Amino acid sequence: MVKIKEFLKERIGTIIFLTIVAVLVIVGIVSINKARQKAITYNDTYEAPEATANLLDEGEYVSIFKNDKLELFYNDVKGAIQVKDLENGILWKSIVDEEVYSKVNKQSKLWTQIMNSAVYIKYNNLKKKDSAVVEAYAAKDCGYLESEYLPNGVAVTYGFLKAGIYVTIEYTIEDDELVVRVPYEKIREEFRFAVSAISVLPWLGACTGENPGYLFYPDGSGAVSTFEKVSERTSNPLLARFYSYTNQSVSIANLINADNYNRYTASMPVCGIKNGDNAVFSYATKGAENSFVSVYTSGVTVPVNRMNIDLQMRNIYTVDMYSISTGTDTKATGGIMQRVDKKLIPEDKEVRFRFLSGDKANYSGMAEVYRNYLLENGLIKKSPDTTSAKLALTLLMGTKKEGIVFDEYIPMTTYSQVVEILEKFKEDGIEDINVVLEGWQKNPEKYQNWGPDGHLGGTAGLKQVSDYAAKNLKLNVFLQNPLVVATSETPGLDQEDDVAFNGLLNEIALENLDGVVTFLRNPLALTKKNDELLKKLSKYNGIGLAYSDVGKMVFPDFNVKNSFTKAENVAQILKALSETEADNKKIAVNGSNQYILSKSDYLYNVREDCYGLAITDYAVPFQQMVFSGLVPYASENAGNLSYDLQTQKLQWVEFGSLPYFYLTKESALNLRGSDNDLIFSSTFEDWEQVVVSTVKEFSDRLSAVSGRQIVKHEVLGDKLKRLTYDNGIMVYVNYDVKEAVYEGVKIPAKEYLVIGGGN
Amino acid sequence: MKKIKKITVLLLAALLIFVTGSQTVQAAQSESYVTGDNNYRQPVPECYVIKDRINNLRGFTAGITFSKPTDLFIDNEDNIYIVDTGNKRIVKLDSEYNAVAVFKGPDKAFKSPQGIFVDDDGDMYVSDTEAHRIVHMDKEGKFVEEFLNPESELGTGDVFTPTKLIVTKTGYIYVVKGENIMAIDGNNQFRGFYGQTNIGYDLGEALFRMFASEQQKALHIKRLAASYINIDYGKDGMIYATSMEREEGEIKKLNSIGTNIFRKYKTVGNQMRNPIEDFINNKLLKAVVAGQSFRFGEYFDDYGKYIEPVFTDICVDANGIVTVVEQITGHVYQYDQDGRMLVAFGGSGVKQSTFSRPSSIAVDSKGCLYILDQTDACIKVFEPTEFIKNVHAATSAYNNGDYQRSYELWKKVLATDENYSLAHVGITKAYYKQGRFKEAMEEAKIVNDRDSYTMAFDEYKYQVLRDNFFPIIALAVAIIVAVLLFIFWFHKRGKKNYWRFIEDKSKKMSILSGISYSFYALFHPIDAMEGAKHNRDRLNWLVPIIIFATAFVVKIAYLYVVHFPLASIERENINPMFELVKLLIVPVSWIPASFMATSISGGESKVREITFASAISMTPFIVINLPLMFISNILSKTQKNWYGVFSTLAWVGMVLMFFFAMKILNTYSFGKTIAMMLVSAFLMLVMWLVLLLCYVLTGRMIQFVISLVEEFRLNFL
Repeated sequence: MVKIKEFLKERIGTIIFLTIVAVLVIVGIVSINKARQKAITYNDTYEAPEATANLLDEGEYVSIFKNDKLELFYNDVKGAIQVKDLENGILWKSIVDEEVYSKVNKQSKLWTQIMNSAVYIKYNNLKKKDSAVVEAYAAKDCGYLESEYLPNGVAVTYGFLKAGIYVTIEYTIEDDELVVRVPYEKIREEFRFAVSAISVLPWLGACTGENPGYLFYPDGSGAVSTFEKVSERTSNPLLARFYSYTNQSVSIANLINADNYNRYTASMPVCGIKNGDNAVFSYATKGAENSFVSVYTSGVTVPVNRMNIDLQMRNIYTVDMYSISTGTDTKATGGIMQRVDKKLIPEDKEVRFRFLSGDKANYSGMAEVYRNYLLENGLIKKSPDTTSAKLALTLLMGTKKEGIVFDEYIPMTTYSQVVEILEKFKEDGIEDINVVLEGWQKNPEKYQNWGPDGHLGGTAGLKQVSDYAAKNLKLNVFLQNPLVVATSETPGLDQEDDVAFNGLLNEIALENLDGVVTFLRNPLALTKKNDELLKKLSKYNGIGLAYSDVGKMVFPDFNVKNSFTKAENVAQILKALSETEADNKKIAVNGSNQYILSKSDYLYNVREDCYGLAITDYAVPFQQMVFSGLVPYASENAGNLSYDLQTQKLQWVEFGSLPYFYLTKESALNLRGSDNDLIFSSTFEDWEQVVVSTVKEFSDRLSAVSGRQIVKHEVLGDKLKRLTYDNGIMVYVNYDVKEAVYEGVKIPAKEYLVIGGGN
Repeated sequence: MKKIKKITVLLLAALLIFVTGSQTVQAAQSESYVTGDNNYRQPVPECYVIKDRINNLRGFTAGITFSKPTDLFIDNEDNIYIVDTGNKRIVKLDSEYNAVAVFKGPDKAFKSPQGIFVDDDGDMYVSDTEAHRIVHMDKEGKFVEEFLNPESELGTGDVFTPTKLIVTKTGYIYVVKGENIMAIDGNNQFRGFYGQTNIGYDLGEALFRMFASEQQKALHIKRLAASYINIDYGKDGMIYATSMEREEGEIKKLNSIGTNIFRKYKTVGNQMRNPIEDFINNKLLKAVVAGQSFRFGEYFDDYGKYIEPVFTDICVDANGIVTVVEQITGHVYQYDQDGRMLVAFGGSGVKQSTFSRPSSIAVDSKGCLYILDQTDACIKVFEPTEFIKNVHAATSAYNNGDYQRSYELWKKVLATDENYSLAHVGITKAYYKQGRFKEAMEEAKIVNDRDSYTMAFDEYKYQVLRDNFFPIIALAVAIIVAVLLFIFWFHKRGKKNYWRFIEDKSKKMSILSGISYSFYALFHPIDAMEGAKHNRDRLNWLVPIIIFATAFVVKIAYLYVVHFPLASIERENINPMFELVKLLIVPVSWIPASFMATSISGGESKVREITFASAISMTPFIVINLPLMFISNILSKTQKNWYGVFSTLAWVGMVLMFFFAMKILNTYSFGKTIAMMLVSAFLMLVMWLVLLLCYVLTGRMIQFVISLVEEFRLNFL
């Protein structure tokens, strides 16, 4: 016994060390075995059949369907289509034929093949995981072509034989639209390659820019690259991509960091090309959550302006491997590995193309098409507040400043002060206000959803605001709530079941320097959280809910217990909003992603600009034209945080937004060094009169267009814009420091002018 | 220390990068900011908006694109000159950005033009670097003269590769040449080196020179001053320059004799100094005061990575507003006439308002900034907003002595941005001039402006003293008497408790008696250590713990209570855990180190009494800092030396206590005590090093195993 004790005493260090190593080895083996069982499988014995098709052969276009608006032609040798607009005889081609090709400088053989391809695919090598994503083009890599004629079109199967991938694409005509569908069940993968994206009709509408026109794409509120400015832009433009709703790579930083977010996200899956008096507008209608718009201005490799909606079939991840070899190559020593989902995203994809001409052949016409699509399919609702709302307000109630031992709570606007502010505005004649209360709850920095903060007046204070709002029917008060974002400090968050995982089966998380980890909530947990909140708010009838993140963040969740595709996530969000709607609570949403339009009573922080890429000439209010007159909305730029209020006012007018201010009762000086230090000026006393005069000015001068639909937006000069409303009233907006004259109309410097309204 | 600073900056920057959801909403509002002394980015309203992007020669049909442009100049008529290096030409644009002329070389074609200056007559001076000459052309581009390498005994006979240059009204050409700016007169004669940075005295270098052989000296690389990067000529006749010089500051404003009169990090002297005297003057007698970490630009990029900024170009407008462009991060920084930051904006990226590789900057008469992007081969034009125009007007009014106008303009600035720091500084100064000292103090405190606060506080203090002289004196006397009486009483009580503890061998030390004992040790350290040595078994373990805890509480309270201008750290930057480690790392690690050292050299002390002695050595710190934190509230930055003396006394007292502890507990001689203290200090360092090494290696090992398992898992997915 003594000997054992002595032995243990002498070797205690070695024993502890070996035990740790053993535990690590066992954990490692178990983890690796578990992973191996779940590993992706593929057929490695595939032999590519002989090619039977050559898509570079000329073939012949044959009419396969015709209605009173469009005629569809199909070339069964090239696997390409053409659509004739019977109204004006314009022929829209899916590939660049010799007629167009002869106008541009002859490119390489590869580019000849690419420009002759109606379809591209991207695929990953499941075996050699460190190999790059491969792009294959129909006219280059497709050795098999099968055509099945449909009543109103054709289904074409493109077989990329070397990769063993077969994709069926249906081209049909429905009324005045070309509809392109990619049925999920008809995609076959017979070898070790997994398809990750498909580009359909990437050359439809492509043009060299000899006619005036532009590319329109969903950057921010909408953005335009005109053809005539090509020569003034950089000679080496870059390809731009905008992913529907969320950046392709889902990470906390990509979702939360405004710059990352704005660079790559699109609120609506749309794009269009205007070429002279004609335009083609494309919009994703199925699988929209997994689509992205690729914009190639003239000069991106070839001197052709083009753009298309790409369809994402799988999620791709990039993993840095430092310690182990990842490839099959004998020289492979680790590095970057591509990882794709095991299965295709289980959804059909559909993109619609509308051909416009004359007055409608512009982004305003495109907005009308998309608006009508949303209305006809119940994807957008008309809010009763659209015509009445006069002011958009955010009141910051409380925030946090890091203190010596404990964090310091900074009350900025108590509940009674909220009532006081609203009462003052009422005395000033402003009653129709949409107010979002931010930081109203305990620990807002922990993304807590419930518990009115005691410093601000607690539940009694909230009741006071609720009662006040209930009495003042023109007033809409919304409590801002985060449903998606949570942290390791968020009360009640189960860090296994309630959080979202990426395809690598890791939590989508970001650890801050103080050890706090930020997570995204699993969609199921999100709906539960919303239900809990609704129960708590059942006593507060006058209060609505403002959702700070569901209108901006949607992602696939690979949580093993409750996995969701992006589309399923959207469905969960809508389910949560339906519950809120059912509780007779009004809904405000931060952002303007298309899927939330069917549930929103008020949109705030709607972008009124674009990211500002070098290829972009200007931003246009495409989104605003889609939902103007249906739902009231406010910009993300508050008047009190602008460098020049007059410029900001003009922007509100140009985008049809409500005047918007972000205020606090206490001095903004208190916000220095706090979580909200971006608010450099917000004190109510300083801004009250400015707000009142702005609202009065808008009410007086813009009453005729308040709550109306913007049907047309035109850029008349570098700093001169014109809006046309559905009642025929026109509003000129002149950003210039000098007077502008257009067709005899004089618009004063830095002013707007309403023609035909209450000016 | 430098490393700690780097890490701190890095952490701060990383914090900035991580924005919370609620902030995302406002992040799009403005991308301009200013940085304070602690590198905190304070957002400000948009100061410059993109007006245009000049990608090519408008109005030309052939050769319209730029290629690797390197320099930019705007003349008095707002014509823009672009040194289109890749195309070996100079392009002239009019003020509407239409190309009006292209110069390919007057007498012979340019080889590699890299710098340009245009004088008031429109004459152009072009540095043709690879042709080793400066070419003077008239406004039509005709050859006037050329300047070749001027001959001089000072070694300008190196290959002449002129790049950035200016021409002063006296006709002298100043051209950047490494660590100097070389002056050449109109006759191509060398007129001297100008503006070389003082590199200061280096003891190591001096010793090397003293003892090295001639051969070694020949092989030794000479210590050179940092290189200049770019220069500009101000309307005030000063030469503004950017350099790689990190000691004094990268941005310089050189007067006629080449002395930098711009804001400096510190003044670098060349005379030999006594390092001990330096230490006493700079570290012991001067309190370390927060807000002294000013730097031009930022020492981290947008991702929190440490960088040393490279200001590729500088421009100065008619009012003396200085703007520089930083190459690594692509940020543009603007400073007022005194070197205080007005705004930072820009950055790297693909936006129209961001840059790939900015290489030059110029300003026109309307205040528009023109920034040349070498990689994107374009010029981005930024228009000032009303906000920054007001800021410029306010700083200029103040510099011209129009304080009232300045006050009104600063009020206007605050109407847009309540938090704009410089506006509060401006208002502070205006209040000061108006004799509104209390209000000036409040304004200064808002933006942590300790200098202005001190100015106002000193005046306010004298005002209060004058108005209430007798009551204040009476109160001061009363407090002093009360403190003396308290000390006397406590000393008496301590003495009583001490002797009771020494004489009554039957009882262990109580907590109260222990605390009283430690106070007695302050006046009778030798007795106290003797007592501890001979009664080691009766010492109470809780007493040192309580003393250490008290010292920590005093330290934190001190940081909180100390007068604002004398605070060594900004309140929001205080980290209690870091303060705890800083305070106790020496006394606590002294215990094992001292025990180890004395055990092998005939020492008699045991862990118990070393711990006790180490704890009571903290009493000078407690006793001095406790009243000092309150007294500091009537002192300001101008009395920081007095304050520093008291603060230092606390540390000296602690060292003395350690000395007595070592000597008496081990019955060492004076010399041996010193030696053993040094050995203990060395052991302490070794301990820290070993612990750090263990920590790092263990962390690395765990990290490696985790990443290995994770990579295997991912590989099978």
